[in-house]
Amino acid sequence: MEAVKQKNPSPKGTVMIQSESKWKKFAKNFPVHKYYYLLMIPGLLTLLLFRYAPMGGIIIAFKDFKIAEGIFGSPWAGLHWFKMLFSNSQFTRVLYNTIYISLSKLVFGFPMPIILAIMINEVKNVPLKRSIQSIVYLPHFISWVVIGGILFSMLSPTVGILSIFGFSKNPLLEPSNFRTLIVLSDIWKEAGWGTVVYLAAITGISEELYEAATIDGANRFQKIWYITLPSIASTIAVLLILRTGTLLTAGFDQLYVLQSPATMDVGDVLDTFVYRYGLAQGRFSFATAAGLFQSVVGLILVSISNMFARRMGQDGIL
Amino acid sequence: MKKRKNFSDYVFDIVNTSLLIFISIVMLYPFWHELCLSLSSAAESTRGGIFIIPRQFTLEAYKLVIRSSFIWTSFYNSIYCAFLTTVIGVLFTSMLAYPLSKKELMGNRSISFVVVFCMIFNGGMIPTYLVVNNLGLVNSLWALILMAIVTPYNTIIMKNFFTSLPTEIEEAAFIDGAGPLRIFFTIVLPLSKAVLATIGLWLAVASWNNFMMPLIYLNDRELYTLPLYIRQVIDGQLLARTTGEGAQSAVESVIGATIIITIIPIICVYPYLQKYFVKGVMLGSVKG
Amino acid sequence: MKGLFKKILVLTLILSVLLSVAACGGATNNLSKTNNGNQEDSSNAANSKNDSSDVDSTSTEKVTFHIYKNGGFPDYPADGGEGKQDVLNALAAYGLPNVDYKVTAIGGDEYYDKLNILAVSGSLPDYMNIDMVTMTNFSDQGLIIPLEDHLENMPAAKDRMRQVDLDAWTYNGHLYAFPVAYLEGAINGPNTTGLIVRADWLEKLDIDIPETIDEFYEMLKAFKEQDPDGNGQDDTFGYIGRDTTLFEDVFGAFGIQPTFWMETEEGLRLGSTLPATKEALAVLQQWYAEGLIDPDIFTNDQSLQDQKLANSKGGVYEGSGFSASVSNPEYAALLNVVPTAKLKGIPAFKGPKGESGRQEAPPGYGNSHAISANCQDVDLLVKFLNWCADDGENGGMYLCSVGVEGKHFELSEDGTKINQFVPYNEIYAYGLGNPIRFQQVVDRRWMEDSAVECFEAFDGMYRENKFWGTTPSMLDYPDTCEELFREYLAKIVMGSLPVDAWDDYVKDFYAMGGDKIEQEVNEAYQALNK
Repeated sequence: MEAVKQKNPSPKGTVMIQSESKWKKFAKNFPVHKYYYLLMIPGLLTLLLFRYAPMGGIIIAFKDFKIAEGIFGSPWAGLHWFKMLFSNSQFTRVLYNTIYISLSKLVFGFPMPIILAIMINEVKNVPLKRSIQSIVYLPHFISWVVIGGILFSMLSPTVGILSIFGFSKNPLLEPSNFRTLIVLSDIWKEAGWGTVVYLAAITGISEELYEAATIDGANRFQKIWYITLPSIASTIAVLLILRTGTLLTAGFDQLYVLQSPATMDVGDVLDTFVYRYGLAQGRFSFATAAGLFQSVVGLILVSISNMFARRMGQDGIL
Repeated sequence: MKKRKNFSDYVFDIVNTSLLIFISIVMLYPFWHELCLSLSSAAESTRGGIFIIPRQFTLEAYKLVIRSSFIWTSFYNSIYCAFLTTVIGVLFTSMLAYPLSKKELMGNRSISFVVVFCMIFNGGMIPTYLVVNNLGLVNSLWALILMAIVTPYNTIIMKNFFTSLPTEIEEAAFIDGAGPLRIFFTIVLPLSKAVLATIGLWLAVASWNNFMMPLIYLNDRELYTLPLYIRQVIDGQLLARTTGEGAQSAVESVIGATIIITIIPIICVYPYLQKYFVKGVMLGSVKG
Repeated sequence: MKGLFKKILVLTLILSVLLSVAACGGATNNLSKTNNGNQEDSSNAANSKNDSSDVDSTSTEKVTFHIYKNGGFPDYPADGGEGKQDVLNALAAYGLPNVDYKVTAIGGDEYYDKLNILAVSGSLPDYMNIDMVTMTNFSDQGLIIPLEDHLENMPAAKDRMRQVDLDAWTYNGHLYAFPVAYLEGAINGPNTTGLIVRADWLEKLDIDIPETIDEFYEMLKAFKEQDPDGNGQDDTFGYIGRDTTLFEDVFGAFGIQPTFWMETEEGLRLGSTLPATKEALAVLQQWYAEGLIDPDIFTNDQSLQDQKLANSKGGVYEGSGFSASVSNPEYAALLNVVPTAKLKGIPAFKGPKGESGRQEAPPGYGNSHAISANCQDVDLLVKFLNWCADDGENGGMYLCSVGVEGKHFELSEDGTKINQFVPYNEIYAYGLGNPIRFQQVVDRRWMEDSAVECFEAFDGMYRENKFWGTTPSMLDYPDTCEELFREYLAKIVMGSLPVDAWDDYVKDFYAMGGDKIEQEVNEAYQALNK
């Protein structure tokens, strides 16, 4: 057998050799690795039960789901709901807004927690450092409905602080400002909460590196640039990859609260659109179809960004 | 070791600190606003505007929120869920994430894909409900706990953290004859307090704020969690307004009070977790 | 040390295996659980039977009706409270000794998510609050039952229901929900909203209550320009509203309501597609440009609207008749700042052709109920509902609305007033009132005189919608009948689009399924009126 394979090095043969050695390696490592597999059982079981078992429900997207008839009893609808989604006259506008807002949040919102975490880390006074970090995470706990109320009242030209500066119109009513305010308010609410994971990553950096750099005469910016950032680069990469998977979700709660008839042109996104056309009408099939579309795009984007990350020397998530 | 401080260092510190204090004030405002509303009279909170301090101080809104004995039941249920979710969740997540960080483990990438896949695709509300119903978990707090303990997102973050741990200590322990389990529980976990605290915080907060899952999976009022109770209070206020039936208190103050009541337990627990991920000591952080 | 980590691992493994076994074990005896609503009912029935054994000595089996209410009642006790015994006693005396009930209350839109979930697992409650969308979905699938034959068995409620409500809940020729019933009189009608004006400003500026749109315009102008709050600053405007506003009075003055179906020579048309809409839009655009309308009007929520009123920023707003009662939050807030302030409801003003009228309230007043196909004993439930609406001997109308006479309220001698001793939340906490208002009879005799005046001012100024139902195309194009118009309304009023953009709106309307909707509405209308 061996001889034949060496004479005819067909691609198929190569794979066989590889997998054979792989299995050999597997058998050799198994006495140790079996503990690893054992460790994963509870977690995988949970995912299996609560994430994978319901996934059969995705076929609702291809059915005319009737509550009384159940998932499997409902009649098939083929691609009806997808056609309805893609052929809707508002679909282009909604898709464009979703990508626009989501990308803006990615470009301007994603770096904010990193910058904030580094800034907080540079504070020398420990009580001050902890207090600042404890304050900036607070807005995360206040729902968008409430934040929206505060925002509308602050930006109001009649009762808010903007009235002092002589604004005559609420900027949230002006389509040209709307998306900027969406990104800014998102940063306002979530940037502080986002620092937690980066601060955790920063704790892993060895203090000796900074000391060595100090002796070499590096200034603070150089230390941040050459030590802190590279040390948390893999965390940034992972979060960025995960983030690309949600490109088609621009934040339902936030936009549902902040959009108004005057800003629907720029503020109606896929999630709010699907809510109106799907769930609010009791049309679960439509909502599932739209969700499936978002997921497929998400998976493609995650795979692509993961590939890029690996090319750039990061581990990625897969 | 004594640090050399030069002029640019001082400038950096001053600029950095003042900038952060400014950011803190801006980010504190929503919380402060709600705190002031909750302590202001109904008339003043309806008048609204910007709040520097509470106006016409009163505790009426808090009295209204804690009037019903259900708040204590729901507090207990929420704490029960949050505690178990956090403890079991951190344990299961780290147990799943650690092996995934071992590149030499066969099937590693496939299992990672399995994890990532179910982050992006999900069956939706109704199919998930049917599965949970078939498991006999409807109307039980365990439904909320079990569904929340392992999330793909947390697993991936944790895996990434384990990957970045220095491998030398593990290798040394392995040569000393320790098995993977022992290395994981006695060496890796103690080294990973920062990420364990982070994931624990996320799990606790997600469980604490969860509204939709309890609404869907719980039927009995004895099992209601805090967000469900809070929503009842707020809905009651809004309903009272549309029907004109007894709106002696302002919705705004009541919402403010519910927010404060919800956040206070988090503020109390936070420092205990925070000390693990906000570095306190600048010098001599010990590795291993 | 070695023992410790193995123990932890073994423990977690056992835990996870146990959990999954428990889960799968649950699945096998799940058959009995699918109808867990009923299961609870029967156990509950047993309990309450014991509780009330001293009252109910007959051996009839108790039937516990599980009822879902859409509303937040944090004070209502889980076991029904003390008031439940009053209800059961009254029921026994009424000849219904075997009725019992269990209420689950959920507020907000999430209520319907919960109903859908219960429907999926086949455990819908016996009786529940319902809205139009859910009614059409559920009745299509046979989850709720037709009710027209049962209506005869609840005379106390039926005689007080409006035909228009019954028509609205009729779908495919069957009645699928019981609407609320109304006591006689202007204050008990379904319509509660109207224009409320700062009467103290009118007095100060010596203006009469406006009767025409021109007089209304003059009033707004005076509010804007003559510094009615006397603070020496040009910081007031006329008209306050919130994001849901449709400027009903202005459109009404031009003889239409944009989201109502109006009768024309070519059959029913949506108000917003009729040329009069354009005239009203021109007026509104001008008012907005002159600063007479709150510039924030399209982003205000209720709380912002209240803030503006309380800060004396505007002089007239769209509110409910309850607003004129001093205990209402926005009025109280205003009085706190301006003790001399006075709010007053005004009738709708007339347009160039003498037309006027706001939108009538949608039928059902939000508290309509359907009976599920799971219901254990429909006839008994209907008798129970009749009791709820009956104000005769041992009837439950007062228990279900204002509590126990003598304890919570008293009737005035002529029977035109209800004096309440306790706030509503105490009635709920006692186990009576809104949480058990299973068949509501609207009775607002408890209102303050100022609110009564307001309701009387609003009386008879509402315009009717010729078609309230839902057609299939409306589900396919949910934005077409209202959202689309709101977009154009906001842009045209704010001046970012010219008034002529209304022509584009009409084109968009027909392009977005408006033609189909219009056709279906006319067909359904003709079928109804045959």
